Amino acid sequence: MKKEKDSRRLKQSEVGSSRKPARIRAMRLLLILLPVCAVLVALLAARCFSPQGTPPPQPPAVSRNPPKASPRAKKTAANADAAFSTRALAQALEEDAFAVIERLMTDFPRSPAPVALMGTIHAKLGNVEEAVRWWNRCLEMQPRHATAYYEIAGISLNKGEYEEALDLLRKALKINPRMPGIHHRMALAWMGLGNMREALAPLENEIKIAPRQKHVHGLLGEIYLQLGEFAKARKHFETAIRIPPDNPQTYYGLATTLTRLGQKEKAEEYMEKFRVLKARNRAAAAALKRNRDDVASMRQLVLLTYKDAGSVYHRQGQVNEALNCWQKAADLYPKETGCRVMMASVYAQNRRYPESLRMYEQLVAIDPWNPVYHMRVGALNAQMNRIADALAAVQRAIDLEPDDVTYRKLYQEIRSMK
Amino acid sequence: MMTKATGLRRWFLFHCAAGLTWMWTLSASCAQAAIKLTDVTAESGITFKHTDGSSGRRYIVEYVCAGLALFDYDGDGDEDVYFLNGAPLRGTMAETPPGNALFRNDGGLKFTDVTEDAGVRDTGFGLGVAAGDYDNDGDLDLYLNNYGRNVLYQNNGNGTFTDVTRKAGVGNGNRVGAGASFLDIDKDGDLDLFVANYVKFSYDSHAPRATRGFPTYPSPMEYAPDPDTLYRNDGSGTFTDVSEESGISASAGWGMGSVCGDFDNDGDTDIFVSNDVAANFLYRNDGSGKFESAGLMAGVAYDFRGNAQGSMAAVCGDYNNDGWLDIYATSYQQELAVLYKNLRDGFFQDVTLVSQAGAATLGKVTWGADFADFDNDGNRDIFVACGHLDDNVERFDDTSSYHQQNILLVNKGDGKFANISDDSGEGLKVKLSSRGAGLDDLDNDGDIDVVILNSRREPTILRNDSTNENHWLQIRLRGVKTNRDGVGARVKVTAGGLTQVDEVHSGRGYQSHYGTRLHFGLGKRDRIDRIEVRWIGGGTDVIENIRAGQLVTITEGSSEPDK
Repeated sequence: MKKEKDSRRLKQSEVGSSRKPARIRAMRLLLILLPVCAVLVALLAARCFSPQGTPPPQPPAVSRNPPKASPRAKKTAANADAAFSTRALAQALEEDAFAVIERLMTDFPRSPAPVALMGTIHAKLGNVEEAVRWWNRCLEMQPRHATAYYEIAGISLNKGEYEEALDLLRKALKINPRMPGIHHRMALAWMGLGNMREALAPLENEIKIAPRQKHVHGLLGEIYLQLGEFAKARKHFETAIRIPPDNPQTYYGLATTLTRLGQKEKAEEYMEKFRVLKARNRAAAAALKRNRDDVASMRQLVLLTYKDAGSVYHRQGQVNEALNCWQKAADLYPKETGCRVMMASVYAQNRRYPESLRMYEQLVAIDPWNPVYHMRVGALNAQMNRIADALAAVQRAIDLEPDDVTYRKLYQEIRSMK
Repeated sequence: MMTKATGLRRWFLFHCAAGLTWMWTLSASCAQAAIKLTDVTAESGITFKHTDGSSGRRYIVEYVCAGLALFDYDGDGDEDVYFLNGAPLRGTMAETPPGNALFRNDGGLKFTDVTEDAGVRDTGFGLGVAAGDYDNDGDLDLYLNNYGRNVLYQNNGNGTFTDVTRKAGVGNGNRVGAGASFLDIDKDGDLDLFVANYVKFSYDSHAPRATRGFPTYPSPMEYAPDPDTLYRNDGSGTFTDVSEESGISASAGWGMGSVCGDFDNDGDTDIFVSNDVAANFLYRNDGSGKFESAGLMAGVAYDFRGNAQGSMAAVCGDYNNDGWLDIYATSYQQELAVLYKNLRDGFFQDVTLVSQAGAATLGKVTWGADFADFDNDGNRDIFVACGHLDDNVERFDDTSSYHQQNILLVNKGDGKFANISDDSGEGLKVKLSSRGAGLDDLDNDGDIDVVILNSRREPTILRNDSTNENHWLQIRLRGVKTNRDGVGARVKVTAGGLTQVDEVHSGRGYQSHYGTRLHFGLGKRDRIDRIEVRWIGGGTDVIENIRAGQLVTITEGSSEPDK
């Protein structure tokens, strides 16, 4: 497996990013040809799969159906085609993501940012060992890279290696005591070790940094509940419930605490709320599972890569490269908003108002219920002296968020420009 | 400047400290080495190889296959082994259809295949199994919970079985089965039957799934859940489906394992069902065979965060010797197997973290499991069988593997467990994709051995070779007015200040059956002061002053063990 990975990386570095459009064309051609020569591809798929997957040990008396001309066999061949094309597409997308980062590494050989990004992408692909190697390389380049410690600690937590996680988090904490989420992870590590008392301190620290963190109050509630300190558990759960959005876990914790406190009726009330929220979330999760599209999730990964690569270029002052990356991300996923917001912001900063406006108009089309986008459209139109359009856009923002005084104020300002 | 005396003192202190550290390490490693499990599969004579009927299309039923049963089918005093097997699914052809297999225990952990002679080679797609004497004729019958028609094999008492499914009326339609348990719901002296159902699956509803382009199994959430079934024994060889009137079918779940026990100590048998990716069920019996769903408020539906687990096995046992049955449920990868401590007031608390009962389970898919006192020290340890469901998981998740090491957690006696899997003999070094596991004393030497069904492979037989001087007691119950094997009866054993309780369960763990005779580790205690048996629907018998290190048979209504 490692050999295959290495050779893949070698291939990528030989070819570089300029190879991508040709590959996409080749992919399209392949997809067109696939239905025409189904049997041929089925054989090819069988060949491609056997060295890739761990071949399942076969039961002695059971054999696979030969791919003959029966309707069932035809269906098998079609499935194999689909599986093959899915894997090929996924692989192509994976290669896209790696090509982007490798270019970043070539452009900024001394920056740990692309190296860290390589770690992130590997982790998202399930190549956790590879991810840890990249993050360690990041630490070699910059020993005070708190995020690298934090990310490796996350891997340790997922493996149940809580002592290691704590060790790494302590290092990260030393470098950046205000790093978001770090105390939370420390608490999780202590909890994993079964030491609830030790888990309290990091969370109390986290609350000091940002008092309105729902998940931190929720976790504090859970720990106090485990410790049998029900009054404290109740306090934290009640605080968590007051912070939106509604989270079923918090209601579960509170209901359990109230049960322990002997407040049965109140407990049942909160449990009912939990039940409703849980059912809603579950229906959404089931729909997500049913409609799961593996290729789409790989596309998301490439999008994330372009997005992060754009941020690296931007931080390094290469605005055009940054915009280029974000545009690619936007093209990849027409409903993506984050990249468009960043592009619009960079265009505006560089006084490229028409381009910024174009971005916000796209954002309005994607999410017409977001008053901020309308407000920005209005402000940019005003900047370009298109007062009527500006007023109309800001009015839409006011309609969506009537209580927000910012929009009204902006409306008055634009009107006074007339 | 350091004087010679100070230097000597430091040298002395250093070596004292080093010596103490060495002794501490040695004692700790000795304690950990107390349990030793040896893989004796190769010389056991067991030739069974499991198949899940897969065709490469990854139907959901493949990966949940299957459980096993350890039961004494011929009444000769040792536990025989029955393995469930898959059957060819659509797209798979079989020259000889695979079937279930029964291996007779010949003693000394040697087995002989008696499947054909016994007539129990069912070729259905086996998932769950329970053994119970439903007709109260003194021998154990078998119920198979299949994908497809279920089967009830009546034991003829002469080493053979007869398929009486149609007559008994327990076929359960064409459903995807899961665990099954015999229990006496209404305390009328005969065994009723609980049948868990998994998902509403059909070939047409199957959709291929992939992760990073690699084919994977679908999630159970993609299928509708199927309500469980409860059959009441009519006492004449037939059963009546009482799922609706009993309250069992009121909620539908993705049933996996089931275990029946008296969780609230009120003298009747309740039902716990572990559900995959959904809330677990706890059905509380009102004593008449009517059940109320109590899992949510009791605290066993979810983990302590209110998250549903991919629950697999359902087991119960008193891990902290407080006289109340606690619950343990295994789960999916990136979830901990969960220990629910019985709070003795109708509620349970998830104590997985503080007890460390989920140690080593986070990175694994955990299946068969149970409490058992492997070192006979009077505290029940936990065994967990592991294995991923995707045979290609390494391709898209390098933290996981299809074949996984099983887990042994030793009970330290202070409410906490420690993972000793790496220090408990080469038997725990075996890495396969395990499913059902059965725990019982197969060689009648006074300690608990293990049989594990491994998906698509041969099983694993682990002989307990632990060396310790601890004592033990095994108890077999003989019901007279109540069901013949004392299923549901509660036994309280008191020896030298240690009191332990257990119950006879039929159908438990991951869709398996074992443990009809009860096993108690006694530590250094060589005599038992008192044994109290509370028969389900019957009275209470007390037997006093019993020697340790033996199997005693207690017949209902008697104040002496059988001779």
